[in-house]
Amino acid sequence: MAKLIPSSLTGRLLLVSMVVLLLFLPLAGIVLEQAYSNSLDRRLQEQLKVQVYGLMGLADEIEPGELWLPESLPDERFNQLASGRYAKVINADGKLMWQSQSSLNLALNTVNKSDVPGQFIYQRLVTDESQTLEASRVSVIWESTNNVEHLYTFIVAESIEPLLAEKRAFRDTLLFWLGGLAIFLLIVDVFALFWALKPLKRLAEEIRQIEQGDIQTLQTEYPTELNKVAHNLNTLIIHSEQQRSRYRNTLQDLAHSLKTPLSVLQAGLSKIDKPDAKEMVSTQVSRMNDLVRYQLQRAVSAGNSPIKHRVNVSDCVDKILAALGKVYHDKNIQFSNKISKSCIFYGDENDLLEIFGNLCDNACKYGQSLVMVADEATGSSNTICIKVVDDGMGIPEKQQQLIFERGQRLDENNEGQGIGLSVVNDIVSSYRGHIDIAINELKQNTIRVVLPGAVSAEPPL
Amino acid sequence: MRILVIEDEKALCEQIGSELKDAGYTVDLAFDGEEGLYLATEFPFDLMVIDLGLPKIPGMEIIENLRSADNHCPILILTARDHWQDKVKGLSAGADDYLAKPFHTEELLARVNALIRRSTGHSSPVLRLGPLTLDTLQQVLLIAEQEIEVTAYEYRLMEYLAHNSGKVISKTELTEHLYEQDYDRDSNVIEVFVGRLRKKLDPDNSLKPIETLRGRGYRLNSSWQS
Repeated sequence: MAKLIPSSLTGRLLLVSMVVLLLFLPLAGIVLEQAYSNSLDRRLQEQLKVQVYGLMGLADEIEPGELWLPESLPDERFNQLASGRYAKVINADGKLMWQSQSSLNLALNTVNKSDVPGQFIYQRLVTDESQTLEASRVSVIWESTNNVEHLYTFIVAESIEPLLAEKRAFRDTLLFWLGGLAIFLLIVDVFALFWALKPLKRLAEEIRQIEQGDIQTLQTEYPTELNKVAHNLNTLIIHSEQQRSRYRNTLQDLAHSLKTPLSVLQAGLSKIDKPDAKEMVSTQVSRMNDLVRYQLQRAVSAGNSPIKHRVNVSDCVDKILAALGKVYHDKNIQFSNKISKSCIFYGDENDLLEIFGNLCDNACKYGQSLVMVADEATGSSNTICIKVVDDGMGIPEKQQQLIFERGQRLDENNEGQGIGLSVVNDIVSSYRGHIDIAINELKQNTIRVVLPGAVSAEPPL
Repeated sequence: MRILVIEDEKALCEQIGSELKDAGYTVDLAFDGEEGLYLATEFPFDLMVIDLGLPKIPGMEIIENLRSADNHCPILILTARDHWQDKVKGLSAGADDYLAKPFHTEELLARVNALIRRSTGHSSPVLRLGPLTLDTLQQVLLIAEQEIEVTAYEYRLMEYLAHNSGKVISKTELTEHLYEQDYDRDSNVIEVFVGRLRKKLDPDNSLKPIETLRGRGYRLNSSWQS
């Protein structure tokens, strides 16, 4: 049963209007046809009655018991054989008194002894030639000149063929107009539905755009009913953004206030004389720092947020390379950003800065003289692939797995390396992305990151 | 070489100050943004270490202020917010390098040394000028590969002249770069140092390491090129 009910509102409304149409229109058709048919039948009976009265007017008793009618009647149809209109007069004994010329070979013996004189009786008859007739008869008591009463039955019958033809014509016209009406109503219905549901579709589309970061809030030019929903959704979106930003700031403040005492501890190490104690404090300080940084990044990463922004990857990487150019000034590294200007990341700019800040920083640390960032085709319209290439030694295959695990440090001398990559890995995972390390054909170290995004055909303005 | 450290955590600021002093630098300390900006604009520094989260005036604003006033003194930012967003912001505002808290003292000293070298156009921490060799990391002074014993102030004076080789340095400039803000200045002290250095570096008066330009100041022997 559940399967029969469409899941969409459009489907449901269409189903209801179709059921109404399918029930209402045939029913209306049947009622109309019935009414018309009845009225035609009655009209025919009226006509027959008039004919009977006409015959009575013409009849005269030439002598008692002998009723006379003219051979030819004014109505030509009575005079032509098998014309479809017939008349007979029969006396009480069933003896034919008179018959119209049209009914010479026709038996119209419908007389019943129990007929009440003066009462019209209608009957459907089928002739030997399979012609269906509507017959009307009435018995009248004729008072002869000798004051003897004689009973005569006047019978007038008419072929119902023209009546049936008229009914058929009416049915055809009815069918044509009702069918047309049904189609018209259906079209109007579908149009009305789409028109009425259009704002809903627009709402859904705008929500999708918000999720993808194309727009920040919903428009508020909706029909009254939806305007409230749009307004509430906007409030929710703004509130959630504010909440996230407050959350991020609070956590950063917490990290800040934890790190300053850690710095004091770290800087105070030189005053500790015992090497063991110095080593222990140093290790713990650095562990606490890594934990704070790692957990903070996990907490503030927007990867799981349903609301994304559109971030231009090339601009973001430009900022990072400009910053790193200053930091690694002495290394004379040749930086190149070959990312397409129309490459867009769906997410949070801070997360993107964190990913490529860490990856490019590592590339600068381990590379000799070259750091290159470029995009690659992914074969999917909703992901982007960015690679960071350096000409360093490369990461040994054995350690490539370990490198992304939390807190794994390949080289203790290079501060923050292990945690940096595990932070990157965490952010990328939160966006359901993917990261891998490889050595390219030029023996260059390549880290490839796949993230949600798109390369739009036209560069953004 | 005179360094300004602006850091609101007093203990950390003093620790950094003492480490830098031990490494042979002249150090001024400021504990908030306002004091820091005042010192930075009023006195000539060879490097500034600025924390980003400062009371009164934030570190970022100090950097922007200095750069818009055409002050090109190298700036090392210290930040507890080690997100790339903050690093990128700080570096694009005009800082030259960053160091995330907590840091190892060695790391700080290495960065400070590298930034000063970069600002004076030297690529190696060991400066070689004629017969003079200055190892700025070890703070060792050699003449013709012979180590010369000098005091901290004498070393600083020599290092400043070496970093600015070819330039005439006035006594005032030397005083400003060798002494902290609240030091009682007496220009005679510089003359005394120069006299002592000449004796130590050039006992037989053949090398003439420091030239005196009357009324203008001192210069490292102009024939000594790196």
